Amino acid sequence: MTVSSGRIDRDRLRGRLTLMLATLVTASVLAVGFAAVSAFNRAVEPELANRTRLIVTIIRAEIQRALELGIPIDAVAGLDRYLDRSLEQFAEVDRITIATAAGKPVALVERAGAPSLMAQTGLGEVISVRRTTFNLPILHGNRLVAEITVEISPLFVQTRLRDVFLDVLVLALIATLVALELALAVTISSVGKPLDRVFRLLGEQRAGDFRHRIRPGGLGGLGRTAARLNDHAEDLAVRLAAIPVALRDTIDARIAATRPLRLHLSDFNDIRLALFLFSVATEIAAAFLPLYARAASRPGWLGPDLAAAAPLVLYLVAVAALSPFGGALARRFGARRLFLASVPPTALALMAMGFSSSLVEITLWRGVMAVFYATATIACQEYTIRAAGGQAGARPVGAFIAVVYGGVFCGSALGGLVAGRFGIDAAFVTGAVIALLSGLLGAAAMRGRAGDRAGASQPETPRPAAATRGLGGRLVALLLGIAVPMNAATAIFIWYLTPLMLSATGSGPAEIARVVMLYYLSVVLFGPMVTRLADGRPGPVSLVVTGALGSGAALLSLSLWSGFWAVAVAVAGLGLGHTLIRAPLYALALRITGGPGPGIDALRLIERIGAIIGLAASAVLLGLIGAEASLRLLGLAVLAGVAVYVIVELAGRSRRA
Amino acid sequence: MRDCGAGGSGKMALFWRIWTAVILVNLVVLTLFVGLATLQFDSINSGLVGERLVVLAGRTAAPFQAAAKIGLPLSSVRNADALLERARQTDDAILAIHVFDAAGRVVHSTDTPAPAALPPEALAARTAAAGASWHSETEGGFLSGIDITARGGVTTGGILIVYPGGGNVTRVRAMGAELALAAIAVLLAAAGLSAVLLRLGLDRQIRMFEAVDGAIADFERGAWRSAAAAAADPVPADGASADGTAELRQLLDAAESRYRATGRAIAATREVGE
Repeated sequence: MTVSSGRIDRDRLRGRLTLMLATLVTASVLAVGFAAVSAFNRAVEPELANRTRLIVTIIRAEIQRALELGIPIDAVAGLDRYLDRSLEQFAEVDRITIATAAGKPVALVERAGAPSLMAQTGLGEVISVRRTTFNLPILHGNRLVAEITVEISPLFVQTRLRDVFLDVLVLALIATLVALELALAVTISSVGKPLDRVFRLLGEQRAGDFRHRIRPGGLGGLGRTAARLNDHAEDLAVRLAAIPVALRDTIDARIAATRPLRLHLSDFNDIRLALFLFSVATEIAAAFLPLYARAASRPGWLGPDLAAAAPLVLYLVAVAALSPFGGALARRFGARRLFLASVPPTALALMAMGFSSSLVEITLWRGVMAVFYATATIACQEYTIRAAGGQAGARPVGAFIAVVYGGVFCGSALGGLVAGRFGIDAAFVTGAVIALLSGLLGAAAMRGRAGDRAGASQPETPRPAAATRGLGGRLVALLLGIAVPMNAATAIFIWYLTPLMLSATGSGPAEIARVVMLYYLSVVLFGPMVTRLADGRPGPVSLVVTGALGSGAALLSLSLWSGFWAVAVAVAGLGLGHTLIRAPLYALALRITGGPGPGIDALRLIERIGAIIGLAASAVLLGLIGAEASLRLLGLAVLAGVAVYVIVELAGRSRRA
Repeated sequence: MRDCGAGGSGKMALFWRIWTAVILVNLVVLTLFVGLATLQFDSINSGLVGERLVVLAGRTAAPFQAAAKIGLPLSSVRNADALLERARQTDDAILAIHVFDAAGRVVHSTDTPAPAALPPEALAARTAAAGASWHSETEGGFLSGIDITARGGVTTGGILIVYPGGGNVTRVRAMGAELALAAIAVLLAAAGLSAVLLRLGLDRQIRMFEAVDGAIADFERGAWRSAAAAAADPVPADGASADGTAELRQLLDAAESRYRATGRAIAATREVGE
C-alpha cells in the first residue's frame, strides 16, 4: 500500500461499502419484518376467531333451519353453493367442511391457489404462521347430527403484508444508496480530501512556494499538518513583510506579499451528495406524473393521452431550450452559483405542482422545474468535467451519471411510496424539502475552483484545444443513431407508457414506482462496471452498440407477451441496455469533440429534441395504433439507429486505416 | 489503539464516523418500517372488523328485506327488537344495532331509548357508498351498514351496527410498541454487526490512515527533537517507509527544511538590511 498514489481507492471502497450496507440494511429490515408478521398473526387471532365464529354460526343456523323442516343433513340442496358464497365473503378462510356425526363428508369447499413462497420454504413455520381450525357441532334436538369445520389460511397475514414488505424492500434499497453516499462523503471529507490538500501544499512548499494555504481540518495528524503548513506560509509572509521591499527579491522562495491565498481544490465528490439529493427531489413525481396530469382538470379539446404527456413534453422542451446555453451559463456565472441559484425555484415548482389542480398549472410548473433542473445538472456536470481536468475517458462522466441515476432511482421509488401511503401532495412536499437540503449541501461542498466562473481563477488543468471542434459525421451518427433513440425510448416507454400501461393492469402508484425504478437500478448496479469496461479493453463503441441492440430487443419483447411482468422485464432490459450506452456515449462524444464545449452542448440539445419528438409522436400514435404497436415502432427505430451508427463508424475506421 | 490527536480525534475516528452514519440510516429505515407496518396493521385490523360487521349487517337485514319486498314499512316489523338482539348477541362488544328508514330516522334499535336519527358520519358514509354495503371508522368507533331495498330496487332504509373503536386503538398502539421494541433489538444487533463488517471492510482505509498519522507523528517528534538538539533540519525518518509512507515523510521533511531555510534566509536578509 502506498499512501501517495491513489490515496483512497474509491471504486474498491464503493464496492465494499455497497456490499456491507446492502447486507446490513436488508438483514435489519427482514428481521423486523419477520417479527412483524409474527406479531400480526398473534394480534389478529382474536378477530379471526370472531369472524370464524360468525361464519359457523350463520352456516349452522341455515342448516338447522333445514333440519327443523325435516330435511336430512345429507339431502340439503345447494349446500356447496351456499358455502362457496361464505368462502368469498371471508378472505382468510381456506376450507369449509360439513361432515355427518359419523365423519362422512356432506359438503366441502376450498380456495384454489398454489402454496406461497413462505409455505414452500418453510419460513411460515419459522415465524409461527400456523393453520388454524375451528369446529362447531350441529344439533337437531338433543342429537349431534353433523360438524362444521372451518380452516383459516396460515398465509392470510402474509398476503396482507405483501405491500408493506415490497415498500420496505424499496425503502431498504433507497437507504442502502443513501447510506453509501453518506459513508463515501464521510470517508472522503475526513481523510481523502484533507490528504489531497496536504500533499498539494507539501509539494508546493518543498519547491519553495509558500503563497498558499489550505482549508484546515481532517482527522488526527492531517488536521495538525494542515495547520502547520498554513502557519509556514503565514509566518514567512509576515516575516517577509518586515524586510525592505528592495531586499525581498533576494529570497529564493515564492512568499505571499499579504496573507497567503487559500487553495480551493476540486473533486467530483464535492458535488456527489448534493447532486444525488437534487436528483431524488426532481424525480419524486416520476412514477405518477402522467396519472396525476391525466386526472387533473383540462381543456375540453385535449384528450386524456395528450394530457398525460403534456407535462413531460414541456419538461423536455424546457430542458432542450436550456441545453445549448447551460454549459455557457455555468462557465459564465460559475457552476456553484448556477447550482445554488437553481435550487430554490426547483423547490418552489415542486411545491406548486403538489398544490395544482389543473393540467395547465401542473404543466407550467413542471416546465419551470425543468428549466432549473437543466441548469443545476449542467452546472454539476461542468463542475465534474472541470474537476477531472485532463482526465479523459468515461470515469468522471460515468460517476456523474451513476450519481444522477442513483438519485433518480431513489426519487421515483420514494415518490411512489410516499404518494401511495400519504398522498401525492405529501410526495411533492417531500421533494421540495429534499431539494432545499441538496442546496444546503451544495453550498457547503462546492467550494472547489471548478465551481468558479471560467477565467475567474486559473483552471486546474488546461482544457484540450480540440474542445472547439465542430460536429463531424461520427458525432452526428452517434447523436442521431444512438443518443436520440435512447432518449426517445426513455421518455416514451419509461416516463409515459409504463405508468399508463401498468395503471391499466390495476397497479397503483407504489407498484408503478417499483417497476419504473428497475430501469434506474441497472445504472446504479452496473454503472461503475460499465465505466471500467469503457475505459478498458472492450472500449466504448462495443458497449454502445451492445446496449442499443439490447434496448431494441427489450422494446420488441413486448410484441411477444403482455401484462405486468412483460412490462417489468422490458423496463429492466431497457435499463440494462441504456446503462451500457450512457457513460460510454459521453466518453465517445468527449473523445470526438475534445472536451466540454459546443459538441457536448449539441449532444444535450439533440438528445432532448429526440425525446420530445418521440414523446409527441407516441402521444398521437397511442390513440391511433395503441401502445403495443407504438413500442414495436420504437424498437425498430432503435435498431435502425444502431445500424446507421455502425455503418458510419466502420466507414470512418476504414478511412482512417 | 493509539490516540495521537487532540480532542479525541483518534485513528479510529474515521471508523466511528462511518459507523454513526450507517446506524443513523438504519435507524431511519427501521423507524419508517415500524410506522408503515403499524399503519398497515391498523388497516388490516379495522378491515377485518369492518368486513365481519358488514356480513352481520347483511344477515340482520335479511328478515327486514323480506318485509320490504312485500311492501311493508320497516317500522311495522313486529319482532324487530328480538331480531336485532339476536344479532347483537353474536358479539358482546357491539354497542348498538339500528334499523333506519329511507330518511335516516331510526325506527328500531337495541338502544333504549333509541336515537332519533343516524349520526352524520354514518349518513356521509352511506351516501358515499351509493347503495353498496359500507364500513367507516370514526372517533366514536366503527360504523357498518347495509341498505334494505324494496321491490324495484327502491331503498327503504337500512341497518347500522355501531362497534367500539377503543379496542382497536389499544391493539394498534400495542403493535406499534412491540414493533418498536423489535426494531430497537435489531438495531442494536445491527450496530454490532456493522461494527465488525466496517472494521473488516474499511481495514485498508483505516490502515492507510494509521500509517499517515504515524508518519506525521514521527515527523513531529523529529521536529521537536531537532529543536532540542538545535539541529538545522528535522531529524530524518526512522523506518517510516515500511508502511508505505516514505513519500509523505520525505515531503514533510523536505517542506520543513525548505521552510526553515527560507526563514533563516529572511532573518539574514533582515540583518543585512538593518
